[in-house]
Amino acid sequence: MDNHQLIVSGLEVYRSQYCGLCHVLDSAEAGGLFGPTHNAMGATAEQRIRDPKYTGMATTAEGYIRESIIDPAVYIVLGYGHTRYQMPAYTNVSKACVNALVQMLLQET
Amino acid sequence: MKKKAIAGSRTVLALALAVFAFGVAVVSAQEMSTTVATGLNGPMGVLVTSDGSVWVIDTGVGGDREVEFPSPLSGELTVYKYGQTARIIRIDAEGTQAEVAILPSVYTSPGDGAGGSRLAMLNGTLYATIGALSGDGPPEMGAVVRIEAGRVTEVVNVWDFESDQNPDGFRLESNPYGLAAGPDGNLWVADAAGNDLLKIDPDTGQIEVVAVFDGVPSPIPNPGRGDAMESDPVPTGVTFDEDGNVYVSLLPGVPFLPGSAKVVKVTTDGDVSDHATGLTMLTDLRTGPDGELYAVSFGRFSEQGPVPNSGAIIRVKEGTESEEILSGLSFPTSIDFNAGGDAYVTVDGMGEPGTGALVMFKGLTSRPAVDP
Repeated sequence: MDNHQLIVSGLEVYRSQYCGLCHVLDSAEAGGLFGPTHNAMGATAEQRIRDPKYTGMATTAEGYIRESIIDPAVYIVLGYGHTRYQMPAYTNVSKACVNALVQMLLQET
Repeated sequence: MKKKAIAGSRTVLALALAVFAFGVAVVSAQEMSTTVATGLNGPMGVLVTSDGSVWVIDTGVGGDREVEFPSPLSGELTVYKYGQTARIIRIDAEGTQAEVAILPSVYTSPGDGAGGSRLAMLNGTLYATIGALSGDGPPEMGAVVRIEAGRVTEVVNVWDFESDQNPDGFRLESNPYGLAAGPDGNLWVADAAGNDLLKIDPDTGQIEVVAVFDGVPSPIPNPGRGDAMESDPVPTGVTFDEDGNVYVSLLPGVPFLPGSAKVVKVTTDGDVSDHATGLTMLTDLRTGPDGELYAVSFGRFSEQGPVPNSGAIIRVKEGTESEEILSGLSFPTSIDFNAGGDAYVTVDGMGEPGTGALVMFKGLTSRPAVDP
């Protein structure tokens, strides 16, 4: 699957898992209400892993996004620590789908 | 002061409405509607009593005092305005409006607040539920109260019960919301965040857990329920049939999928079974004067947020046979009927302050289903 196909597939996963209910992502026409924005996610991920307050294990933007999907509790974005709508751990989603989702979000810069 | 958890279902609705523009009640049959009251601040409940009076309760707009809660919208500690601004208003048979009582209210922005929720008349006495938010909130929130001659007296604080008992075993949350006067002389409360049905002795405040509702299947995990693939059930409305069986509407919670809401039947023994399924975002349930069940569908929720004018009134039928009899409503929250079958519906329940309204639909019980 080439990168374009991955991104298309990632968008499908994004919609099928209702990510846009909580997050904003213009390319998915999502205006979610409860979580941090996914616009410019690739650039944001780079900043997050360099933030001294980052508590996760990722060392790359790609790794950060993957970690945020399957183990979101390791690092909570500032301001969302008390939200009732906690990010679920999407361990129910296949590895291929997570990969597609990661690549799609990574190219959001 | 005890720590209060976020009141789930109320917050669900509050957040659902926090970011969209309010509107007027646009219905598919406007010619049959009459606006009874306007200027309401988040109307949550309506009650029609046998003398022809119509009572409405709203959320209010907070007040001069400031209290801190984690905002359910952002999670950040937020300063809420707090004060006695939730109202119970009586509209008599001649249409004269009078403020009967005021209740506590916390508020930050449209949809992000809590105050008056629902009303019931039991043996000639008026009762109300008061919602709750999160954090170290005012102690009178999350309660069932009695209103006599304008004086408000707490019957019981449901949050205290939740924090002691936590019947569903999940997060400590309480939002006493749905309220009905039971034929047994008790108050029946749907705790929309506690996810249970409570029977409350109005004289002693003694609480009995009648039922704890199961989660509703969901395509995404729910961290609040141990990552189970289920939404919080979020009971909202309570009503009775002629045999004393209880029916409860379930919202349910995120992701608010169309068709995921349902009406469940609760026997006098507390057994819960699905009565009607395939419904969407139910916020209230009433038995009409014709003996039929009627539910309020708040609207549809999409990835772009709540869809304007997507609310409806449903004639509830067993299984999947329910009928939509009124469509195009602007985020309705509650319904009640007079003896003639006219329906009173609160709309724009969580829009900007002052935009809420009470609308009457003449002869709604005799109305056929609208075309899909």
